[in-house]
Amino acid sequence: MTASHPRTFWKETAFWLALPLLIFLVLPVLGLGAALDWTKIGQAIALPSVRSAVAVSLVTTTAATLLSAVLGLPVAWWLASRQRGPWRHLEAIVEFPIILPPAVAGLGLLLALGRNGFLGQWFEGFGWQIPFTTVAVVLAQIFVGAPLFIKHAIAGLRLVPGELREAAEVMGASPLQSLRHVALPIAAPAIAGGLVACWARALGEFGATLLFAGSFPGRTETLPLAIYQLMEHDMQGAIIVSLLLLIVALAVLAGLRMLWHPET
Amino acid sequence: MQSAKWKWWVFPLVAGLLAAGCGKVVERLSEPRLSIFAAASLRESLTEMARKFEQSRQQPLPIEFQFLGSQQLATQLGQGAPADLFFSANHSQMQRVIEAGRVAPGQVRKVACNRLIILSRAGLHLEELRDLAHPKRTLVLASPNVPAGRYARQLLTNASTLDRLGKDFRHRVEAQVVSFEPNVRAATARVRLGEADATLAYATDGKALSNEAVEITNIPEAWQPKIIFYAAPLKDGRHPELARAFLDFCGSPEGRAIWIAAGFRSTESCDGPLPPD
Repeated sequence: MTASHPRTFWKETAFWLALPLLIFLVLPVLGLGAALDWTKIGQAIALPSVRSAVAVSLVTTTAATLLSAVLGLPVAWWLASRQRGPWRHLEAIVEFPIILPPAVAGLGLLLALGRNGFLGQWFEGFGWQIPFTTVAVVLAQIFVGAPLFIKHAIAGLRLVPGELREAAEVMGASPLQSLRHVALPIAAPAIAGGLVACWARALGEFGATLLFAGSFPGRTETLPLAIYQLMEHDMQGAIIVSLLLLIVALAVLAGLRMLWHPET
Repeated sequence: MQSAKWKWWVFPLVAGLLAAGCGKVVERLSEPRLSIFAAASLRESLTEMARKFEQSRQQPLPIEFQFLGSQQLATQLGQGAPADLFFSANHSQMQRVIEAGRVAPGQVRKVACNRLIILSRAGLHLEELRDLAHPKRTLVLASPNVPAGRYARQLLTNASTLDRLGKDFRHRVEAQVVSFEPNVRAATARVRLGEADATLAYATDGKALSNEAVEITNIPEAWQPKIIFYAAPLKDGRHPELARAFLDFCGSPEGRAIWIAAGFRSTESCDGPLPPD
């Protein structure tokens, strides 16, 4: 069945052109599943290093996401209204960490906030040490996660038609009331998506955490770092923890898709 | 149809460029080059060894190194990473590669001996091992999977047998550790940056960093674990004769001079009592 019309030809060819990359994207899942030894799951989950890594990851990602939301919403609100004019270039500051390689971010944070860092030295004077603490993990996660949240929040807030906001102002609403009753309800799905994206990014953060916070079980060793350590002496443990994270990622994706496409 | 007209040749063009690029990469990969996986602490000594080895041969020879923690290298080799030689900082990591079937046990050679020192940041003025247990110390160690981390633990256990330091000495020192690094050079990097107070590293690491703002404190021989670096050719290496020639060079008088200059000790001293500092 040869396609005589160019459009049908490209439609069919498109499928075959798309196939290699689609297969490639599914490969890691298949690789992990094929190498898994089901009998060892109980053993691996009971490992103290795994349990402490789950605890560290849960605590830090939750804190990082909450802080990113609280600190990021004002930024998003301010940037959302600055679509034209010179201030819109400040949006680049928020976009920059998204493309920055995490290892660079980690090294930079270390050099800024470390004991000998230009800001860290000042903290040292008060006896506060930031690297090697759980706080450092949260900071690294905020660095990589908050920009994602802010981008989503900005997109959501820009959905609010200007006329609606003006109408609220005319009717006597304060800026806070306008935000709560007009802007947020419209921006809510995008903001929720931003929270999830921030959390997922924080959960997977590896390079910046390793360089800035180091790796210590129960304190700074997150799940990705634990996988890295496990790989070196307990491959099955590493595979099982990887699959655990993978299932979490799939659940997050399913949730995100429901948010973005509530009809499906 | 204007847009469709210019689009049709874009795809074959891009595909052609990609194919040409891939061809070049494959070409470069099949150039004869000796691929050596080596423990991170061997960076300076093996690079120098490779330089001298190249000088002694007729034709120039690309040697490429992969310097990581021995346990990371052993994991990669166990997963089938292609290499010609493996230099490990202890026997357990070499054993992992033997068990993976990539090295024949009879082919393993002792390469050199090492010992541990305390590497600390400038201005700390540590005098002895006991100073590590001070409650205000911020220590980093290589992770227990890393040979250097395991040796460090052994050393602390040895020291705990002395009444002077106390049976809980090892635990008191480990209580001051804030991070376990993936290889010993990452730990020394923390000390160099001043982020950590001190670490237990190889004497050869200390020598390699002698120009930096760090201090080196020696540790009595009585507590030193036996530290032997091993090397072996990979069974499926692509250049077995070259690999063997390089290993022979490492054991030659010229090779030994390079080890000694880097701060290693000859393999004879590995077995007998170690000479005083």
